[in-house]
Amino acid sequence: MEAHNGILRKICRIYQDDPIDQHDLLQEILLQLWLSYDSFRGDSQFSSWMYRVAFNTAIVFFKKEKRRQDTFVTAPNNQLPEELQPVRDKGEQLKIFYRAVQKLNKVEKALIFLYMEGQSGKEIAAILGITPLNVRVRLGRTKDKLKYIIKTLGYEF
Amino acid sequence: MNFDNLKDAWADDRTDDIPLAVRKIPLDETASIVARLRRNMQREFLLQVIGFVCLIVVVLWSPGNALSIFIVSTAVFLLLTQAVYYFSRFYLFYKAVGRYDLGLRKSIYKITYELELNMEIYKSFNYCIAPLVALIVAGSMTTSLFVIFIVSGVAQIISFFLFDLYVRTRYGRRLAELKKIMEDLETEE
Repeated sequence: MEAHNGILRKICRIYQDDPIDQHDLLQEILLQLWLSYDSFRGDSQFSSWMYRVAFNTAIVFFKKEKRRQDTFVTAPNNQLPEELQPVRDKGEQLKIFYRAVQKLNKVEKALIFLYMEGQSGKEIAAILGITPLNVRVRLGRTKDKLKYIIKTLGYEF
Repeated sequence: MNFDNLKDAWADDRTDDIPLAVRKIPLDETASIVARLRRNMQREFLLQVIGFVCLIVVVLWSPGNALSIFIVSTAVFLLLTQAVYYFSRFYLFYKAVGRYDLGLRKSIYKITYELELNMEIYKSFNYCIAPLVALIVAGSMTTSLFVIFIVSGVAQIISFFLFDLYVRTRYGRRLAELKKIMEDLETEE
């Protein structure tokens, strides 16, 4: 599990923006991985099984009642700023990317995460339970949406 | 913007700022809808058992004539029969709920279905037992058939609205969000 904890942390970061929620989600995913381990039969890669458990947990994980409610943005509705600030530093770009991903819905987050992890369309389809064609179309649309969100944040790269 | 150019920075990102496993297993604090459902079921089972014990005490201490004793005894029998049936359903559901290793689409379907089904069973259980509990309590305190009838009828009506409101308040928003995700996954683009 230690070998994969970077992946789990990234999943927590894209699904929750609050550090306490990220921590709680990480605990929840670890718990579910532990509880579900009996179901891992070795006929698929460990990482694929882990992605399934982690995403299923992240998607049914809701913010605590007292904290801010989950956002479920279906389409960007912000206006573009008049001037966009170019960003060259990769680390800075990644920080902005994480901020933008927060505005995607839960399925789009899973899609973009798996894409960034270098999973193939077929593998993403198996993890999400949708067709590879559907993955391709959704991924293209999600990337466009993400680019638009980054622009609404005032950045360009 | 080129996403492929960002992949290197993504791969190098260590994300060490989120501490790993510094607390004990957070079963009591989890925000997972399935864990919350299971936790609520445990609490409610305990409350129901306490409620039944209180009811038995009320029945044993109550004075009454032959008719009210007959009514109360019949209601207790019906109540226990229904409770055994529903608790066995709840127990089976409790053991089966929450499998996280399926594909996302199947998993969301399963959780949404289980949540909605459990909400309906819970409402129907309380809708069935509320008038019986009212009948037993009223039958133990008065011998007036009219009063017993009115109390049971009012309990039936109140329970319908009360438990509907209760489950909607407790799980309604989560269920709506799960359905939204389900619809999203269902849409073939």
